[in-house]
Amino acid sequence: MKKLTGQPDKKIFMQALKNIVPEFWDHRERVAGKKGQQYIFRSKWYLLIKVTFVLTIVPLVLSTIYFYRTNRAEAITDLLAETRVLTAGVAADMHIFFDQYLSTLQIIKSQYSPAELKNRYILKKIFDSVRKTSTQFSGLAIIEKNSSVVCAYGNNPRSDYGRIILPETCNKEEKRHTGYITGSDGKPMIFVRLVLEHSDHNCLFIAGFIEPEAIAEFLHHFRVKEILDIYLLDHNNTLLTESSFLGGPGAKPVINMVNEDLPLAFITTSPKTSDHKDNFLFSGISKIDNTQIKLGILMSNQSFKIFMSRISSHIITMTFFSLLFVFIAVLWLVTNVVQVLYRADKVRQVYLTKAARNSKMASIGQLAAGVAHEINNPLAIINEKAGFLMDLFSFQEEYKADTRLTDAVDSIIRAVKRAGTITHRLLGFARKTDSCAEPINLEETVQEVIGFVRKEAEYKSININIHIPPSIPQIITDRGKLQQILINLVTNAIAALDEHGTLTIRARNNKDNESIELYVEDNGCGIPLENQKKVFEPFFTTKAKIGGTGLGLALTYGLIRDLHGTLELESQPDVGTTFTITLPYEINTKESYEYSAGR
Amino acid sequence: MNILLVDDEKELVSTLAQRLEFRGFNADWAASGNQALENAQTRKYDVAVLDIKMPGIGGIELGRELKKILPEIRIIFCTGYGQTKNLSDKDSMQDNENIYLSKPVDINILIEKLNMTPEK
Repeated sequence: MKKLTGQPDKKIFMQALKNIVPEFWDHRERVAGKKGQQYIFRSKWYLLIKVTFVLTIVPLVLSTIYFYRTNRAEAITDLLAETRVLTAGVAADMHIFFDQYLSTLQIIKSQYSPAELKNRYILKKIFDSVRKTSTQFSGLAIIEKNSSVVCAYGNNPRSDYGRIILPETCNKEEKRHTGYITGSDGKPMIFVRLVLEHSDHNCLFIAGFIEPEAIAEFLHHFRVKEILDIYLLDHNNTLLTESSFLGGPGAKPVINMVNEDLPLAFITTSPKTSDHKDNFLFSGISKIDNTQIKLGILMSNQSFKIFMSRISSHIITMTFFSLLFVFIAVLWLVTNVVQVLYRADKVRQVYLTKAARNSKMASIGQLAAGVAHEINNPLAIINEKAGFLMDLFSFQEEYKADTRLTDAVDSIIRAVKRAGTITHRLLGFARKTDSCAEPINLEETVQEVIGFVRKEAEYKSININIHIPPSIPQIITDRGKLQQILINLVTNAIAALDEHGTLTIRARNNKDNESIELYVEDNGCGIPLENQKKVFEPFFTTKAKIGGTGLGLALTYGLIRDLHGTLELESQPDVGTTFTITLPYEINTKESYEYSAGR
Repeated sequence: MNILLVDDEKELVSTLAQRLEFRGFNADWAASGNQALENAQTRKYDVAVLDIKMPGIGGIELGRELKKILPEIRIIFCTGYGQTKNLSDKDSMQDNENIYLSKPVDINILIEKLNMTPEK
């Protein structure tokens, strides 16, 4: 016999869920001005959760954004600094590159006299031999101060050489120089020049034009890793070399240099990459020493992106765990706070209900007493008149034989008597009567009471348990009233019990050490919730058909009040009912008398 | 036996008086304390049956006054309140001779109590 496991699992799950769900979750109440019942504590919980979340998450999100932005700005600053240093470094290398060409000119100067150099044949020989070395001149020219070409040899048109504008003054400091001119084809040509001889009147130079390919090749060495582009600019920011991003030689890219303090680094939007948020490049510009030429670098933002993605993933992880923590903390906190509120409210409700019930019972008592008293007088008149009729019929022979008359009057008298009994019992509930206090052994009293009902209990096979511990002291109270209270409660319990049910009477000392608690428990049919509030009211009965007057519990309530005690009811349908009587160790009869007289 | 019945409910007290007449008692009735005191001035009563709660002079005070006029008179109190026992506890006229009956009064019990009177 294999049982299906699905059902119990579901049950366990539901049970677990029930344990997690706080008490207030399903609590509903009527709220003034709203239709139906409202989950007031649940909505309070929602509101608190929302408010607390907003209050905790907003600063968290703001600080996360701030953290992200700060990191981004710092990363950019760092990378700009790096770019600046790199640009300056490459510019220094470029300076060495130019120096190398100048050194070659220096060697030429040391080997040949200016007169020899003016000889085109010799110049050709020099050019050819220099071309065999690593220094790649595209042409050599000997130029006078007035820009007239004395002698030239190379790949360039002759006219190009004559366009080198020489400085006005010709001194020793100006011996070495690197410059550029625009060639006849419109492309810039970079040259190095060296003073061969100078006098007050004239100045003779040797100029060496550097092969553009040699420059391009040199610059190409640096195009590793993140350096996307290296280019040279003239003093007007016109490109001297090919740039894969900014254009060919002679192009004039727009470069917004804020100040001329070189080297500098800045962010520039990349014209090639688009639609990505971080499509900028790091740009650096540096001056090459002893030249009019500037060197520019474009660097990819790859390392920036890597850094930012690392930071982002850290931030996301951190934020996720923070949110998780906040979520759990807020949930726990708010649930607990609402739970505390709910419990406090529940306690308050219980006290309010008790107070309302007490005041209701008091006013019912007064009303009942008033009604009973007012009805008593007309009842007395009816009684007398009926009695008088009866007398008339009984004392006069002609009516005496007619039993219909006497029977009718008898019925009236009986009905009046019944009404009288009800008014008396009502008065018994309403009026506080003095108690005759005497020491009582609780167990004896309970046993006596059980003695009265034992027959009925045995008839229904009801099991009666009595637990009165020896620690219960003798209490000083009214024996008759206590007996009546117990008889009422025990009779009710027996009526509520089915066959083989259990009736338990137990007692214990109250914590205040001034009173005892006496419990009358049954495991019978219980009292439905809607009836629990009404059972102490006079004339409330569920046994009307079998002759219940609905005064039993009302009287019991009144009697317990006379004994300065309280009566509590706890009942669950089909589980059972417990009446809890609290009685003081000693009843203060004087107080009772004053209280009673005041009514 | 002369009986004085006092109750503010005229219907009640007059009917009761008639019923007692049927049974051979001399019953007078009064609807107020003052009327009762007037009656007591002119006639000697053996027993007074008094309602405790009456407008003007209450039953207990009336009983006290009647005793001044007719010291031998026996008093039977009637009351609408169910608990007769408590009245004797509270009242100052605790002479053990007073009898308390609750309303509505059963005529047979009343006659029983009236007949107890001479056995004093």
